[in-house]
Amino acid sequence: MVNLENYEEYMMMYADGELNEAETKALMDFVAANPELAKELEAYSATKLVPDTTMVYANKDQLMKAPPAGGRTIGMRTWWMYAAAAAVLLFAVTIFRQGGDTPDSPAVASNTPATTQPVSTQPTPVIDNNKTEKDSNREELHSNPIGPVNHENNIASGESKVESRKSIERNRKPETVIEKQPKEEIRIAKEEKTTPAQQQPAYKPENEHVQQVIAQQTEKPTKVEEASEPTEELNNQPQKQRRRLLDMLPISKNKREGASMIASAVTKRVENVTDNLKDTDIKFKIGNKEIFVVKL
Amino acid sequence: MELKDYNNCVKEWADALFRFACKCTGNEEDARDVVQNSFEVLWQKRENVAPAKAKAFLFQVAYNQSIDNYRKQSRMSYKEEIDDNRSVTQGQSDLKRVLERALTKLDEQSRALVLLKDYEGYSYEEIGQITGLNESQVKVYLHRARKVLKEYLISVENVI
Repeated sequence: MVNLENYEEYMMMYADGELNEAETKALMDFVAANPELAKELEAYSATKLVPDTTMVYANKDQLMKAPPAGGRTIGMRTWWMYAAAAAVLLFAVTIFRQGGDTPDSPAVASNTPATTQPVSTQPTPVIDNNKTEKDSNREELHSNPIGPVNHENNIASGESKVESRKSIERNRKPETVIEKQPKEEIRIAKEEKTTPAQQQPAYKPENEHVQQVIAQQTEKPTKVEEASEPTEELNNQPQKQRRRLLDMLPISKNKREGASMIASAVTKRVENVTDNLKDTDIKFKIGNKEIFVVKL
Repeated sequence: MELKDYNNCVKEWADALFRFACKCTGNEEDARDVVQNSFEVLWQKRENVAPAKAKAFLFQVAYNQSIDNYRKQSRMSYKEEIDDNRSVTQGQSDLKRVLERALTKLDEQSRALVLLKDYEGYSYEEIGQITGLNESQVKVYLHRARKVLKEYLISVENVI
């Protein structure tokens, strides 16, 4: 019961909002019965503070926390991470496969050197070969491959000036192949820039008209011996393909062999590059996940 | 408590905590520090704090830091006294502003109790949990504070 002894406590509890309905009603009845206390109740009620809502903390963003990069994540994000990892792996495998395929392709193997030579850092020694040692067999070997296109025509015209359409078509095929090469060759040439200059002779033999012309202008001694070395380590499969292509050419057997030797030498160089690629382990890092592509 | 809950707490309670700290410490600079520290503590202990208890936890930390801050520095009373004298001489009758001045007449603990009660609407029991006092102590301190505020209001009213 509210009385003169405890009414003040009731009023304070009323201001604090701690009175229940019955207690509030009892207090109000008591104040109604004692109107002189109404002002005091009003004063207690007035002590209730009201927050100033215009006062705000300015930089809430600084208090907030961002999700950690490698922390607990929702399923969707995890899924994306694995998808990204798979994509990277696929990319890596594609690169490896491309590297392995290039040497096997007959077009690149047999013809690359011709076009790559001018781009290479030492064009002069190549040119020299043709000019100085024209009489030697080796020289013949090297110069022949250059001519798959041009010499063929000469030979064809020499042996029988009127050739059948079939033979003409055969001759043209290699030409078209050669024309396609440069795109791939450029890539190969770039890869081999780092290789020692010794192996360059492997590319020399396959000179085309341009090289021959240049060779006539510059007379420098060359080392033809180097070209024969790589031929011993040829890979059988690409050689077969090369021979198939070479067999189609209407050129003499000697020249054909020379062309195949040069082609295989080039192939070996390309394989070295791809092997170097295969021997390296690759590590990808996505977020805090690391993916290793290890050579087995 | 997860990261999302924590960030929700920032959105939800940073302003209230800042207002509370401002009144407790007497200046915005200290209040900012109190708010930052309170949220930092919450973040560090988020594993042990349920989202429903986060607000009380924040005010508990802010209360302790404000009281410590106030005890270390007495600048608040000095600053507020100046404002108080100026305001009184200007004869402001605005109840809210008078109450703000009246608040400075309270000791730091009573002021914090009134703020927790009026600003945040905590019950005696909840205030007791935040401040570490028992319910009876809260009630007694609050009543004393109310009486001081009431008497100040009446006195100012009489002056005006």
